Amino acid sequence: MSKEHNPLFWGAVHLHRVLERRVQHGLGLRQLESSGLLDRQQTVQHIWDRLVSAQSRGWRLAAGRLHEQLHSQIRLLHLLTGELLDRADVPRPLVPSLPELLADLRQLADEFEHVEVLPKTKMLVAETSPIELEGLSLGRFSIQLHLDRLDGSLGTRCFDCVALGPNPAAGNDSVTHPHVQSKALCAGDATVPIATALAQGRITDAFCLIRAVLQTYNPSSPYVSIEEWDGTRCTDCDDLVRSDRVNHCDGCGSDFCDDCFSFCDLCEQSYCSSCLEHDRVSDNRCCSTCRHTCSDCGRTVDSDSFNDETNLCPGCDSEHHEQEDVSEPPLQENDHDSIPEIPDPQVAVAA
Amino acid sequence: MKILYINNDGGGFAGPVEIPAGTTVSQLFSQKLPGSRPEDFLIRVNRQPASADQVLQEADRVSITATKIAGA
Repeated sequence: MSKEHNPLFWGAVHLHRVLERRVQHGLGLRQLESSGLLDRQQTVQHIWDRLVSAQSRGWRLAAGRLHEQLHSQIRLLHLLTGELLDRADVPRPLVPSLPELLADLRQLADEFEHVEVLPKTKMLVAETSPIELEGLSLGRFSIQLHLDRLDGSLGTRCFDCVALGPNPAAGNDSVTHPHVQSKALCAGDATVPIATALAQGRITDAFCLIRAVLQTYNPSSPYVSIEEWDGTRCTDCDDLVRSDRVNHCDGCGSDFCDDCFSFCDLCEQSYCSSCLEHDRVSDNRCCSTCRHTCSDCGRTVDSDSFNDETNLCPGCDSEHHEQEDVSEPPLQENDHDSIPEIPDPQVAVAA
Repeated sequence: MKILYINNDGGGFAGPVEIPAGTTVSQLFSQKLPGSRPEDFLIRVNRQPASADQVLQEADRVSITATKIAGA
């Protein structure tokens, strides 16, 4: 097979070009910064010329201002020069040679069961063994390095992790692994080493690091935990519920299935049946905010029926009013309208 | 003698290191990753699997990569 038709050779050449382009781009920026330095130097020269002229003509005020400007510009020039010198001490990343990159891709083929170079789509693809995390089978994954993405920021975004026999989370089809959503890996502790490996052209190391993340479960920050992979358990009846069908109770904060879930008839907020109480008279199911307890009979009363002033239900409230009406004497608004007392005839006779 | 040492742990170090002649893979591992278990890592010398007692040679390329890393 000729070099031109050897996919690994094509991959190595393409990688070499991309990595070299990145380094050259870095050098271009440095040159740009250097030209900024020259501009600043010209500004200093210009102010110096004007200062000399002002002094020779005896323009003391103008000379004073120019003197301040000159100091300011020299200070900036000094800072810029220092920064450039510091950066010059940082070693430039070396682009691996073509044979090194070719050796790297050959190692990739040794490390993974199946490796493909796809010139048309500009991808390097390596397939993992079946992944199983704490008893959860997730199948094989295809780790796909998109060579075009190497022109941008280096890191896990250059890769897609595609489940070949997907067993996605019950509530979210885009989560095919606790740390993969929409083909993107959240690499956690491997983020920096992956970026470093790519920058140094250690492609196999980057693939191995991604595989190491796929082979590991971190329970502290998954997209979907293994416990909830197949759904969430209803707090009430303990049935499994798909994550996208779970009802969240605003009262107790627990998750419930449709059967064990309801809502407050007054405010229409979602609650589980345990967080609602039934007003047997109005037939309303009320949350803790929308219900009261009658201080007399102890009945659960919805807040629309409850008398806040007396703390009574409508029944006890009307009874209370009737008793008040019986015990209190009628009001006498004025003497003319009131009915005159008729003396008891027997008492009158005796007197 | 000098070897190229690549440690894919942490920040991802890759650079030349000085080691005494006769150093084995096992000795280098213990020195660089004390407290770690070799079986939790892919250890490669010149891109090939290596045995614990393999004696390292001048200019060898040694890479150590964890087989399990916590994602996020």
